[in-house]
Amino acid sequence: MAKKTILVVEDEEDMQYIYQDLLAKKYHLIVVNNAEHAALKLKQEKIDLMLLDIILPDKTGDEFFKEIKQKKKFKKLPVIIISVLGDMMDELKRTDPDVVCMQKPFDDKVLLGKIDELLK
Amino acid sequence: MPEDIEKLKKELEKCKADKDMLELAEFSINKSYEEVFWIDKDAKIIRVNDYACKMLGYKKEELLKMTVHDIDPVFTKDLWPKHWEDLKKNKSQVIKSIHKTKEGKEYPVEISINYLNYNGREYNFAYAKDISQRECALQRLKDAEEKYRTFLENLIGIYYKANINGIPVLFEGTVKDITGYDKEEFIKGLSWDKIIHPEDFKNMKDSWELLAKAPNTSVNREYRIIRKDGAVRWLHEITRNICENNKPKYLIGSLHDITEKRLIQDEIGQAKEDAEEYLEIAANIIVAIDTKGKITLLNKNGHKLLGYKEKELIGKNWFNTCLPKEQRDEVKKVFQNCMEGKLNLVQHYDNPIMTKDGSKKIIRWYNTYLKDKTGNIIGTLSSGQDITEKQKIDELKSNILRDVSHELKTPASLITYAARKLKEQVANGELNNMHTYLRILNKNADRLNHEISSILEMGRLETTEDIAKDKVNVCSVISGVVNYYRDVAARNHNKIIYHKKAECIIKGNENLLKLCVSNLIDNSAKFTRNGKISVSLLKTGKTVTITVKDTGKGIGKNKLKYIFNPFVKVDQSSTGIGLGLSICKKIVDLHKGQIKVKSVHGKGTEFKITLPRGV
Repeated sequence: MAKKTILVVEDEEDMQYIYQDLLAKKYHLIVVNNAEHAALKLKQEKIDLMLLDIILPDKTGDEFFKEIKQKKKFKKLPVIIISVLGDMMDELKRTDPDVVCMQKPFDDKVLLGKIDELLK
Repeated sequence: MPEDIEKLKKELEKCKADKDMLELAEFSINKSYEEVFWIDKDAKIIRVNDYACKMLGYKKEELLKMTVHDIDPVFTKDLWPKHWEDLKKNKSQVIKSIHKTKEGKEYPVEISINYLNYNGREYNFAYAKDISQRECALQRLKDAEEKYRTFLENLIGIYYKANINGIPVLFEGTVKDITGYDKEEFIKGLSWDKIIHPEDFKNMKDSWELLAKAPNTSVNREYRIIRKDGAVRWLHEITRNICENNKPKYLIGSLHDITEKRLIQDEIGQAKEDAEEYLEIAANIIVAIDTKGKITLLNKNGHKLLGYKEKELIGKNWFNTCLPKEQRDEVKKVFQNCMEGKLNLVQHYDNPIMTKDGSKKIIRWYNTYLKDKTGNIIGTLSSGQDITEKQKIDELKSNILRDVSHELKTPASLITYAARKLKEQVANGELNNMHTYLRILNKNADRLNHEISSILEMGRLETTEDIAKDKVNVCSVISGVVNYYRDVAARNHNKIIYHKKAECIIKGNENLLKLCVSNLIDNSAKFTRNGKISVSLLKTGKTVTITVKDTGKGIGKNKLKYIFNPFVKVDQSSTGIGLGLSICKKIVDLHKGQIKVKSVHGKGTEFKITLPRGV
């Protein structure tokens, strides 16, 4: 079975390393620094799941999240929003209870479990 | 005797003529509408005319046997001799008396009596006129006048009739209440002019002149008088001129005390003025629109805020003129529904408006209905506060808070994660990635330390007016910082160049100067890839100039003037909370120096600090 593709949208160099270290064995990772590149990759590649940071250089992750969720093509795309900013994720959950969020620093097992669950 | 015949004939003719005259006189007396009597010294009626017979109800023969006393109860027998003597002396007189008919009915008469001595005999020749009708009318008039007077006296106000010069012939009503003077004082000659307030006198004079000249004119005016006790009262006077032959002859009019009314009016006027003034000075925008959306009121600040001249927008359609295009239809629809009562008016909301030049402003609105006396909705009144700036500031604040928490929490979470990873790896004996996690741990601990220090430093510098200064060797300060940053710069493949100069001593704070230089080099290292960071020091007579120049990405023109403000980040994608340059500026200020920046986007940036040597 081919590896599922995860798009990681994260500008923090160290975090990018952590994702690689944690996920690269099991999943095919595409890592981008900003929302613009993420949008491009979503268009070009077949993405199964997206890990999205909230504070990005070009726009905030929640904005980007709302944008892509408006597009029919990505309505069903599983997204995990990962950030250090708990209150911003709370705000996001208030407007959309279905959104999946995870606070940094995350527990590896919890994140892996969530990814598994969403990819099923 | 023809002469005698002629004489006789002449006498006969004369007699005949006399007889004719006599008959004519007799006839006219008989047909007269006055009673005519010949009365002798003893009050006996000698002759009487037909009209007297008719009036008194006697036949002529009856009357000729009667005396004055029988028909006039006033002239009794005992009064008669004196009357006769008086008449004899005065020759004629007019008196009022009473006549009594045969039936016993009495009526008032006016009698004009003449004394006559004819051929040695004395007569009283009297004409009597029935004046009962006239008396009646007079009585009625008197009654009416009395009634009218009572009526006027009981009315509130003054009612007058005056000749054209303003001298009153009639002056009634509550004169004393209003003026403090008795009405007799006016009748006796106290001039009304005297009590008119001097400031109102000119206007009053004009109106009198008009009343005296223009026929059938009515004048309505309000003016002040000074009462007898000195109090000032406001009166309302209506005067009309009455004309004879189309010339004003009399003035009639009324006066009322309207002081209370004026006071209330003044109060209302003042309240209205106050309200209008408030509207004008109100910092808020205050707008009233009718049910069709037409602007019926917009205060000065409202016009100013919207970029229009005062009053320019009155009568214009609010929605079409002052709302951004994309908002118009929706707001119009809601408004229409509110006006029709289908929707309750939203009392508070924030909405954008569009100014004359097309820019937008966010207004926080407070709304209420305007209703007419019967309670129908006739529009809305809204007070709006321009919260554009406030919103910007709020947004900025929340962005700063978000950025600061992000910048602090990110290294902290990485430290936690790396530490946890290291612990796991040590426990599992898998040490292959250990170095990477140690590096992450180390780097982020430094980063967190740096951020916290800069926040604390900024907080400290914000409230610092003066600093402890000592001799500082700028040259070695720079050397130290440059050496520390060589490794950091190398990570992004940058070279730091510093040609060490001889000693350069200034008076300053070594730690702060170190922080200042390291912030500048840190920035350059962050934004430069595969480039060069040159640091130099220039010593002149009284100053030293430190220059930090890089070949990095540069700063956009629009950002350049804000970079020394706290929490402004040159590049959103960079790490850090944006305090570095504001700390530098503050430190330079505390050394009474200057910091300047030059930058070309894509080419590089140069910071130049000039400090007084102070030694």
